[in-house]
Amino acid sequence: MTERREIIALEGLLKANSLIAEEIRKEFSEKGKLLVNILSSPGAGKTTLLQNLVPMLGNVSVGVLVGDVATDRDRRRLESSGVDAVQITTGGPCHLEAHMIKQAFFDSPLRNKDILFIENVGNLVCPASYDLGEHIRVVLTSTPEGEDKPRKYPKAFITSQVLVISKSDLIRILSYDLEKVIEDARSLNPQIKTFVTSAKTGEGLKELASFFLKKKNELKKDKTIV
Amino acid sequence: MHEFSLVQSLLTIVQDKVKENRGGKVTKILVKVGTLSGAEPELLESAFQFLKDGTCAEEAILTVIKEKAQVKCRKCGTIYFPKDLDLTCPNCGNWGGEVLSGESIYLERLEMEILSQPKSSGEI
Repeated sequence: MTERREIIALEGLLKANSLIAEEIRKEFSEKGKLLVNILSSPGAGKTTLLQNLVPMLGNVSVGVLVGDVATDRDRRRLESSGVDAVQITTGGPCHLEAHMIKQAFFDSPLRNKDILFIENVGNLVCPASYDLGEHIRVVLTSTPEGEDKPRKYPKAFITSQVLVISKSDLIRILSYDLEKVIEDARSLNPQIKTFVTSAKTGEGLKELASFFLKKKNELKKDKTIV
Repeated sequence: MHEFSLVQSLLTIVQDKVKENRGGKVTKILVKVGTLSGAEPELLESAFQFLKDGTCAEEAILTVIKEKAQVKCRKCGTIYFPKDLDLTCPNCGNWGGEVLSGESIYLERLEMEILSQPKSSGEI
Protein backbone atom coordinates (compact mmCIF):
# COMPACT_ATOMS: atom_id res chain seq x y z
CA MET A 1 0.00 0.00 0.00
CA THR A 2 1.43 3.38 -0.83
CA GLU A 3 0.69 6.65 0.87
CA ARG A 4 1.48 10.01 -0.60
CA ARG A 5 3.40 12.44 1.53
CA GLU A 6 4.05 16.11 0.96
CA ILE A 7 7.44 17.41 2.08
CA ILE A 8 8.18 21.11 2.49
CA ALA A 9 11.73 21.64 1.24
CA LEU A 10 12.48 25.39 0.81
CA GLU A 11 15.85 24.61 -0.71
CA GLY A 12 17.61 26.94 -3.09
CA LEU A 13 18.74 25.35 -6.32
CA LEU A 14 22.00 27.25 -6.12
CA LYS A 15 22.62 25.96 -2.60
CA ALA A 16 25.23 23.43 -3.67
CA ASN A 17 27.22 26.21 -5.35
CA SER A 18 26.83 28.47 -2.30
CA LEU A 19 28.17 25.81 0.05
CA ILE A 20 31.32 25.32 -2.01
CA ALA A 21 31.71 29.10 -2.31
CA GLU A 22 31.55 29.48 1.48
CA GLU A 23 34.17 26.79 1.83
CA ILE A 24 36.45 28.62 -0.61
CA ARG A 25 35.95 31.98 1.09
CA LYS A 26 36.67 30.50 4.51
CA GLU A 27 39.86 28.85 3.31
CA PHE A 28 41.11 32.02 1.66
CA SER A 29 40.24 34.15 4.71
CA GLU A 30 42.00 31.80 7.08
CA LYS A 31 45.13 31.98 4.96
CA GLY A 32 44.96 35.79 4.62
CA LYS A 33 44.60 35.52 0.85
CA LEU A 34 42.35 37.91 -1.07
CA LEU A 35 40.01 36.55 -3.75
CA VAL A 36 38.55 38.94 -6.30
CA ASN A 37 35.96 38.04 -8.98
CA ILE A 38 35.76 40.30 -12.03
CA LEU A 39 32.61 40.38 -14.14
CA SER A 40 32.08 42.21 -17.42
CA SER A 41 30.81 41.91 -20.95
CA PRO A 42 33.20 40.43 -23.51
CA GLY A 43 35.78 43.00 -24.57
CA ALA A 44 35.26 45.45 -21.71
CA GLY A 45 38.91 45.18 -20.75
CA LYS A 46 39.30 42.63 -17.92
CA THR A 47 42.54 41.16 -19.24
CA THR A 48 44.04 44.54 -20.12
CA LEU A 49 43.13 45.87 -16.69
CA LEU A 50 44.86 42.95 -15.00
CA GLN A 51 47.93 43.20 -17.25
CA ASN A 52 48.36 46.80 -16.11
CA LEU A 53 47.18 46.48 -12.53
CA VAL A 54 49.17 43.47 -11.35
CA PRO A 55 52.64 45.10 -11.71
CA MET A 56 51.35 47.93 -9.47
CA LEU A 57 50.66 45.58 -6.59
CA GLY A 58 54.27 45.68 -5.44
CA ASN A 59 55.74 42.81 -3.53
CA VAL A 60 52.48 40.96 -3.08
CA SER A 61 52.32 37.71 -5.06
CA VAL A 62 49.41 37.72 -7.47
CA GLY A 63 47.79 35.13 -9.69
CA VAL A 64 44.90 35.12 -12.12
CA LEU A 65 42.37 32.37 -12.84
CA VAL A 66 40.97 33.08 -16.29
CA GLY A 67 37.62 31.69 -17.39
CA ASP A 68 36.66 31.46 -21.05
CA VAL A 69 34.37 29.31 -23.11
CA ALA A 70 37.15 28.65 -25.59
CA THR A 71 40.88 29.34 -26.11
CA ASP A 72 43.56 30.27 -23.63
CA ARG A 73 44.36 33.56 -25.35
CA ASP A 74 43.81 35.61 -22.20
CA ARG A 75 46.03 33.39 -20.11
CA ARG A 76 48.78 33.75 -22.71
CA ARG A 77 48.36 37.53 -22.80
CA LEU A 78 48.70 37.68 -19.04
CA GLU A 79 51.72 35.38 -18.98
CA SER A 80 53.42 37.48 -21.63
CA SER A 81 53.00 40.48 -19.30
CA GLY A 82 54.66 38.55 -16.51
CA VAL A 83 51.44 37.68 -14.69
CA ASP A 84 51.03 34.11 -13.43
CA ALA A 85 47.79 32.76 -14.81
CA VAL A 86 45.85 29.53 -15.04
CA GLN A 87 43.10 29.03 -17.62
CA ILE A 88 39.72 27.39 -17.05
CA THR A 89 38.15 26.60 -20.42
CA THR A 90 34.52 25.78 -19.76
CA GLY A 91 33.81 24.32 -23.19
CA GLY A 92 30.21 25.46 -22.99
CA PRO A 93 28.97 27.08 -19.78
CA CYS A 94 29.07 30.85 -20.04
CA HIS A 95 29.88 31.41 -16.39
CA LEU A 96 32.20 30.02 -13.76
CA GLU A 97 30.88 28.06 -10.80
CA ALA A 98 32.40 27.55 -7.38
CA HIS A 99 33.32 23.90 -7.97
CA MET A 100 35.43 24.98 -10.99
CA ILE A 101 37.34 27.44 -8.82
CA LYS A 102 37.88 24.85 -6.14
CA GLN A 103 39.23 22.36 -8.62
CA ALA A 104 41.38 24.81 -10.60
CA PHE A 105 42.85 26.51 -7.61
CA PHE A 106 43.56 23.71 -5.28
CA ASP A 107 45.76 21.79 -7.63
CA SER A 108 47.47 24.68 -9.32
CA PRO A 109 50.66 26.70 -9.02
CA LEU A 110 48.49 29.65 -7.88
CA ARG A 111 47.94 28.03 -4.51
CA ASN A 112 50.58 30.15 -2.82
CA LYS A 113 49.53 33.54 -4.18
CA ASP A 114 48.42 36.25 -1.79
CA ILE A 115 45.91 37.89 -4.12
CA LEU A 116 44.00 35.87 -6.66
CA PHE A 117 41.91 37.52 -9.34
CA ILE A 118 39.27 35.54 -11.16
CA GLU A 119 38.66 36.85 -14.64
CA ASN A 120 35.15 35.51 -15.18
CA VAL A 121 33.73 34.54 -18.57
CA GLY A 122 32.68 37.67 -20.48
CA ASN A 123 28.98 37.87 -19.61
CA LEU A 124 26.96 40.21 -17.37
CA VAL A 125 24.04 37.79 -16.95
CA CYS A 126 24.79 34.37 -15.47
CA PRO A 127 28.03 35.08 -13.57
CA ALA A 128 26.06 37.46 -11.34
CA SER A 129 24.17 34.52 -9.85
CA TYR A 130 27.16 32.36 -8.97
CA ASP A 131 29.13 33.05 -5.82
CA LEU A 132 32.70 31.89 -6.41
CA GLY A 133 33.81 32.40 -2.81
CA GLU A 134 35.25 35.83 -3.55
CA HIS A 135 35.84 38.55 -0.95
CA ILE A 136 35.32 41.28 -3.51
CA ARG A 137 33.25 41.24 -6.66
CA VAL A 138 34.08 43.80 -9.34
CA VAL A 139 31.76 44.75 -12.20
CA LEU A 140 33.65 46.30 -15.07
CA THR A 141 31.93 48.28 -17.80
CA SER A 142 33.73 50.13 -20.58
CA THR A 143 32.80 53.49 -22.10
CA PRO A 144 32.09 52.15 -25.64
CA GLU A 145 29.37 49.90 -24.16
CA GLY A 146 27.17 52.84 -23.36
CA GLU A 147 25.53 54.00 -20.14
CA ASP A 148 22.69 51.49 -19.87
CA LYS A 149 24.51 48.50 -18.38
CA PRO A 150 23.21 48.97 -14.81
CA ARG A 151 19.64 49.11 -16.15
CA LYS A 152 20.01 46.10 -18.41
CA TYR A 153 21.97 43.92 -16.01
CA PRO A 154 20.96 45.04 -12.52
CA LYS A 155 22.01 41.85 -10.77
CA ALA A 156 25.67 42.25 -11.74
CA PHE A 157 25.67 45.73 -10.17
CA ILE A 158 23.63 44.80 -7.11
CA THR A 159 25.95 41.95 -6.19
CA SER A 160 29.27 43.78 -6.75
CA GLN A 161 31.18 45.88 -4.22
CA VAL A 162 33.31 47.65 -6.82
CA LEU A 163 32.45 49.29 -10.15
CA VAL A 164 35.25 49.97 -12.62
CA ILE A 165 34.51 52.10 -15.67
CA SER A 166 37.29 51.40 -18.15
CA LYS A 167 38.53 53.06 -21.36
CA SER A 168 37.98 56.47 -19.75
CA ASP A 169 40.25 58.00 -22.40
CA LEU A 170 37.26 57.67 -24.77
CA ILE A 171 34.76 59.56 -22.58
CA ARG A 172 34.95 62.81 -24.53
CA ILE A 173 34.91 61.25 -27.97
CA LEU A 174 31.88 59.13 -27.09
CA SER A 175 30.12 61.86 -25.10
CA TYR A 176 29.81 59.20 -22.44
CA ASP A 177 27.61 60.21 -19.51
CA LEU A 178 29.80 59.05 -16.65
CA GLU A 179 27.59 60.61 -13.96
CA LYS A 180 24.56 58.70 -15.23
CA VAL A 181 26.25 55.32 -15.00
CA ILE A 182 27.53 56.00 -11.50
CA GLU A 183 24.14 57.34 -10.42
CA ASP A 184 22.34 54.28 -11.76
CA ALA A 185 24.83 51.90 -10.14
CA ARG A 186 24.41 53.71 -6.81
CA SER A 187 20.61 53.56 -7.12
CA LEU A 188 20.93 49.81 -7.12
CA ASN A 189 23.78 49.62 -4.67
CA PRO A 190 24.57 52.77 -2.65
CA GLN A 191 27.73 51.23 -1.17
CA ILE A 192 29.40 50.41 -4.47
CA LYS A 193 32.90 51.91 -4.79
CA THR A 194 33.65 53.46 -8.15
CA PHE A 195 36.93 53.67 -10.06
CA VAL A 196 37.33 55.30 -13.46
CA THR A 197 40.29 53.82 -15.31
CA SER A 198 42.21 53.83 -18.54
CA ALA A 199 44.92 51.34 -19.40
CA LYS A 200 46.04 53.82 -22.05
CA THR A 201 46.57 56.85 -19.83
CA GLY A 202 46.99 54.99 -16.56
CA GLU A 203 44.11 56.89 -14.94
CA GLY A 204 42.71 55.28 -11.83
CA LEU A 205 45.01 52.27 -11.81
CA LYS A 206 47.13 53.37 -8.85
CA GLU A 207 44.01 54.04 -6.78
CA LEU A 208 42.55 50.65 -7.70
CA ALA A 209 45.80 48.90 -6.81
CA SER A 210 45.91 50.70 -3.44
CA PHE A 211 42.34 49.65 -2.80
CA PHE A 212 43.12 45.96 -3.31
CA LEU A 213 46.27 46.17 -1.19
CA LYS A 214 44.29 47.83 1.58
CA LYS A 215 41.66 45.09 1.45
CA LYS A 216 44.32 42.43 1.52
CA ASN A 217 45.82 43.95 4.66
CA GLU A 218 42.43 44.24 6.33
CA LEU A 219 41.89 40.58 5.60
CA LYS A 220 45.14 39.58 7.20
CA LYS A 221 44.36 41.54 10.34
CA ASP A 222 40.99 40.17 11.26
CA LYS A 223 40.35 37.35 8.81
CA THR A 224 37.11 38.94 7.68
CA ILE A 225 36.40 41.56 5.11
CA VAL A 226 33.79 44.26 4.89
CA MET B 1 20.41 31.60 -17.09
CA HIS B 2 21.25 27.98 -16.82
CA GLU B 3 18.04 26.14 -16.63
CA PHE B 4 19.68 22.79 -17.43
CA SER B 5 22.19 23.16 -14.63
CA LEU B 6 19.44 24.38 -12.28
CA VAL B 7 17.27 21.35 -13.08
CA GLN B 8 20.23 19.06 -12.43
CA SER B 9 20.55 20.68 -8.98
CA LEU B 10 16.81 20.28 -8.51
CA LEU B 11 16.94 16.57 -9.30
CA THR B 12 19.83 16.08 -6.87
CA ILE B 13 17.89 17.80 -4.08
CA VAL B 14 14.74 15.80 -4.94
CA GLN B 15 16.68 12.53 -4.87
CA ASP B 16 18.16 13.46 -1.47
CA LYS B 17 14.69 14.18 -0.11
CA VAL B 18 13.40 10.87 -1.40
CA LYS B 19 16.26 9.06 0.31
CA GLU B 20 15.77 10.98 3.57
CA ASN B 21 12.11 10.05 3.63
CA ARG B 22 12.58 6.52 2.33
CA GLY B 23 10.27 7.45 -0.48
CA GLY B 24 9.59 5.93 -3.84
CA LYS B 25 8.46 7.82 -6.87
CA VAL B 26 7.89 11.55 -6.83
CA THR B 27 4.46 12.71 -7.94
CA LYS B 28 4.57 16.50 -7.67
CA ILE B 29 7.28 19.16 -7.50
CA LEU B 30 6.74 22.87 -6.85
CA VAL B 31 9.53 25.30 -7.69
CA LYS B 32 9.38 29.06 -7.16
CA VAL B 33 11.42 31.48 -9.20
CA GLY B 34 11.88 35.15 -8.36
CA THR B 35 11.48 37.68 -11.17
CA LEU B 36 15.00 38.93 -10.46
CA SER B 37 16.54 35.47 -10.34
CA GLY B 38 17.28 35.24 -14.06
CA ALA B 39 15.48 31.91 -14.51
CA GLU B 40 12.46 31.36 -16.75
CA PRO B 41 9.64 28.94 -15.82
CA GLU B 42 9.10 27.60 -19.36
CA LEU B 43 12.79 26.90 -19.79
CA LEU B 44 12.93 25.12 -16.44
CA GLU B 45 9.93 23.05 -17.45
CA SER B 46 11.52 22.07 -20.79
CA ALA B 47 14.81 21.19 -19.16
CA PHE B 48 12.92 19.09 -16.63
CA GLN B 49 11.11 17.12 -19.35
CA PHE B 50 14.47 16.39 -20.86
CA LEU B 51 16.36 15.44 -17.69
CA LYS B 52 13.79 13.60 -15.55
CA ASP B 53 13.91 10.24 -17.37
CA GLY B 54 15.46 7.47 -15.35
CA THR B 55 15.14 9.40 -12.11
CA CYS B 56 12.70 9.09 -9.22
CA ALA B 57 10.97 12.17 -10.65
CA GLU B 58 10.24 10.56 -14.00
CA GLU B 59 6.48 10.72 -13.53
CA ALA B 60 6.35 13.87 -11.46
CA ILE B 61 4.37 16.92 -12.46
CA LEU B 62 6.57 19.98 -12.15
CA THR B 63 4.94 23.33 -11.44
CA VAL B 64 7.06 26.47 -11.62
CA ILE B 65 5.60 29.67 -10.21
CA LYS B 66 7.08 33.11 -10.68
CA GLU B 67 7.32 35.17 -7.51
CA LYS B 68 7.29 38.90 -7.94
CA ALA B 69 10.30 40.68 -6.49
CA GLN B 70 9.85 43.19 -3.67
CA VAL B 71 11.82 46.40 -4.03
CA LYS B 72 11.87 49.40 -1.68
CA CYS B 73 12.22 52.77 -3.41
CA ARG B 74 15.19 54.68 -2.03
CA LYS B 75 13.54 58.00 -2.79
CA CYS B 76 9.97 57.70 -1.46
CA GLY B 77 10.10 54.45 0.53
CA THR B 78 7.29 52.75 -1.43
CA ILE B 79 7.53 49.00 -1.62
CA TYR B 80 6.76 47.87 -5.14
CA PHE B 81 6.64 44.62 -7.09
CA PRO B 82 8.35 44.82 -10.49
CA LYS B 83 7.18 42.02 -12.76
CA ASP B 84 10.44 42.07 -14.73
CA LEU B 85 13.80 43.82 -14.66
CA ASP B 86 12.31 47.31 -14.89
CA LEU B 87 12.92 48.72 -11.42
CA THR B 88 11.05 52.02 -11.84
CA CYS B 89 9.06 53.03 -8.76
CA PRO B 90 5.36 53.30 -9.74
CA ASN B 91 4.89 56.00 -7.14
CA CYS B 92 7.65 58.57 -7.79
CA GLY B 93 9.30 57.27 -10.99
CA ASN B 94 12.72 56.86 -9.38
CA TRP B 95 14.66 53.98 -10.88
CA GLY B 96 16.48 51.40 -8.76
CA GLY B 97 15.95 50.62 -5.12
CA GLU B 98 16.68 48.14 -2.41
CA VAL B 99 15.84 44.61 -3.50
CA LEU B 100 14.10 42.94 -0.54
CA SER B 101 13.35 39.65 -2.29
CA GLY B 102 12.94 38.09 -5.73
CA GLU B 103 16.33 36.70 -6.54
CA SER B 104 15.93 33.16 -5.39
CA ILE B 105 15.15 29.95 -7.23
CA TYR B 106 13.97 27.28 -4.85
CA LEU B 107 12.25 23.97 -4.44
CA GLU B 108 9.31 24.79 -2.18
CA ARG B 109 7.73 21.40 -1.76
CA LEU B 110 7.36 17.98 -3.29
CA GLU B 111 5.02 15.05 -2.99
CA MET B 112 6.26 11.47 -3.04
CA GLU B 113 4.92 7.99 -2.54
CA ILE B 114 5.99 6.36 0.69
CA LEU B 115 5.93 2.59 0.66
CA SER B 116 4.45 1.50 3.96
CA GLN B 117 5.99 -1.64 5.39
CA PRO B 118 3.74 -4.54 6.41
CA LYS B 119 3.80 -4.88 10.20
CA SER B 120 5.33 -8.06 11.52
CA SER B 121 4.18 -9.55 14.77
CA GLY B 122 5.81 -8.11 17.84
CA GLU B 123 6.10 -4.63 16.36
CA ILE B 124 4.09 -1.85 17.79
